[in-house]
Amino acid sequence: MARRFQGRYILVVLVIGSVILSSPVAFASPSSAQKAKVTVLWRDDPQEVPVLDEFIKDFNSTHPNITVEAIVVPYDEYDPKLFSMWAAGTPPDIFWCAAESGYVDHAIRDMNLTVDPLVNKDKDVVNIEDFYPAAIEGATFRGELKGLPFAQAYTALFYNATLFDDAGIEYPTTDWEDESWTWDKLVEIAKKLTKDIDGDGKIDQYGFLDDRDLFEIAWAWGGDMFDPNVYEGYPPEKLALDELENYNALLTALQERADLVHKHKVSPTPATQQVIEQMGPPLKTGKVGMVIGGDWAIWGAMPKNYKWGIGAVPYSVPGVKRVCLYTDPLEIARTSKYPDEAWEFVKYLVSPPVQKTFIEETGRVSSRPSLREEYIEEISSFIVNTEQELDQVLSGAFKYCQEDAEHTVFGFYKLQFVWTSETDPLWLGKKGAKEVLDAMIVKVNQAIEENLRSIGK
Amino acid sequence: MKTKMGPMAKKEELYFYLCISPWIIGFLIFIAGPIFASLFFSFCNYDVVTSPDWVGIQNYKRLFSDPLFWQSLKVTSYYSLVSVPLGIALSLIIAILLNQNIRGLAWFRTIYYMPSVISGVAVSLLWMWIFNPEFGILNFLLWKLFHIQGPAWLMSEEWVIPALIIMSLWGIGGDIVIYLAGLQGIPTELYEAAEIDGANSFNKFLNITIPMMSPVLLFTLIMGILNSFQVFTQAYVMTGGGPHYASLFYVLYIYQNAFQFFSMGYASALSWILFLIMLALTALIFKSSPLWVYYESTRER
Repeated sequence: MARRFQGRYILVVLVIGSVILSSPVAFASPSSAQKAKVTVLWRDDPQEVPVLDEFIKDFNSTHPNITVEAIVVPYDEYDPKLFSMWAAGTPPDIFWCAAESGYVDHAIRDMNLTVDPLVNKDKDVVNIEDFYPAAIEGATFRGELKGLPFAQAYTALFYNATLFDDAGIEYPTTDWEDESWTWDKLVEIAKKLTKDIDGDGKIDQYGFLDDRDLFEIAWAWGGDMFDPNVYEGYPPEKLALDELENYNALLTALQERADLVHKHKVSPTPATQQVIEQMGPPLKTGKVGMVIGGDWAIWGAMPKNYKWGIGAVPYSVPGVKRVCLYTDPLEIARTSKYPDEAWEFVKYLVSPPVQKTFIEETGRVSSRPSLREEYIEEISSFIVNTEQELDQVLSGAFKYCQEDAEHTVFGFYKLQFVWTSETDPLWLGKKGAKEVLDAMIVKVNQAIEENLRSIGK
Repeated sequence: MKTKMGPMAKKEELYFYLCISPWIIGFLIFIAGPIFASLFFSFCNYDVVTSPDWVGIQNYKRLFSDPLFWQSLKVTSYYSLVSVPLGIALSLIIAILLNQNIRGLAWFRTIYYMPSVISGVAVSLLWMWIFNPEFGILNFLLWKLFHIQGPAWLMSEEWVIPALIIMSLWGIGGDIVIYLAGLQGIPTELYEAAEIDGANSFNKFLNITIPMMSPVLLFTLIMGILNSFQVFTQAYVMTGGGPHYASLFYVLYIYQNAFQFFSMGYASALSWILFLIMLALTALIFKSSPLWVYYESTRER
């Protein structure tokens, strides 16, 4: 009997012991209390993370009183992680609109610090003049700066120059003001680039893929899905599509987009597009001649068997040019225990030397105009355009742009889910543009109402 | 009547609770806690970040006027109604075939069971390629063997659920193993007696195999329904609920509301409704079970 009980004691001790040992308190070192620990929530982008690790290492070694630590989560889990860390009362000190929720969503929930006072305090270091005005707007909520732009993307026309050479077509212009560069012309070129290479009756190479979201094509056709003040951070109360001008613009845009697939047959059907996307970024697969969309079309290594080019986005309607800019501002948690230390790290990440490294390592553009040349140098190694032409493209891209509605429109993700689902039948060729648009407006307005109710309005 | 425990027994009981305490505490904190919290949240307006606001039954009222709630219920029921019986029938047939004293049974068992151990995401990615309308093996075979131009599967409103049902059959290995164990537990003398009485194999199947297997069938039916109402990964990875909400499964809709639209209150209400639906279905099946489930032990009494 005694031996049996001894065995039990050991078991109990083991259980209790393991509970105690597994708790973090047991191993907390006393010295860590004096150091400010700043956590950064990051997405597991394979290009970004190694660079970020280097930055953190460098920063920590030069700032003995601060320890920056990155929490890296998959893209899909970024928002859930951010929100649940918040709910648990341990928000990351630094975060950004790296997934679906934008800085406006965060600001409306009072999650991010207004950084204007900090920027003013460190005027000389931050050098706010050395940011594209549109990028600063892309971090501004009702007149207050809610973060500093760290990562940046722009919209342009990206193309596979080899396919142009093969078809004997001139490369698209890089001049955004060139009035002869129109939508119709783009469709004409797309037709020439669309080919059935093996002659089996199926198209193997598509001329064009429009990667823009609904609100972007509304912009391009001279309309708008939202009222102007919505982009400043005021929650939308309904879509601005009861204004005839906006409605007609989006209707035309939808029809034109559907025509690409069903009438001109220069763009893949949704099923084929899925096929292409499963192989990789559409442009890189060599199955698509031109793409209008974010510059992620040319991020990372580009297949060497093709030459690549960048051009201006054409005029869809005369006199209108409005494209999307994608700014990712770094935000500091309003409830951060170490806002000053977090600010130090934000300042470091947006500083020109760090931004320069970021360009070199990832091939991304910087929000700082002073680093434009570095970017051009970086990408010109695989782009057919001259450096002047690339400069021209960037000038237009940063001039005719407005921040991505995903970041500036409250509750965007839900609205996007609804309008994406509602327009499926149009791309599948099952319903007409008007029918789809009318149904979509009702459903999106319902979603807007639900969003408003969620913040008690 | 409870007998009084001696000191030794009391001590032993104490150790018992002490030893299982990690599990009990874990259950209370990580399972029971959230369950009751979600009941509370379902009566609140709650976006996870700001503190919850009590709104009474508003979330439940909203359910009934929310077309996507009904859509997700429709999608899930459709899937459940077809995939569960189909899965049971198919796995029972395969189990019976495997039960025919064939050589290499262990091999077949392993092969059929193998898909069940692969992660849902990997399986989903694999099936995306199988269903690929242009390069997928399914449409390729349909064309080569029958000259049928296959549908767009996941990109088609009509075919996305049938596609996911076909894919669900991939996981029947788990049921096959259970059925096989059940089949091997049926006494052979029952079949021998039936044979002497001149029963053919169909009669034997209907009058011996099915009744003897009915407790196992009850178990797999309930588990199958519960699982089919919780479909998430496939829809999340492969279709995102589309096209045009055609694969908006109930749990996907809960997830979207909770973690993408941050309507945690509404998502909680949806979860509780799902719980009630599953509870009702399970109760219904249990209530009906005396009519068709045969337990050997009850007869012997």
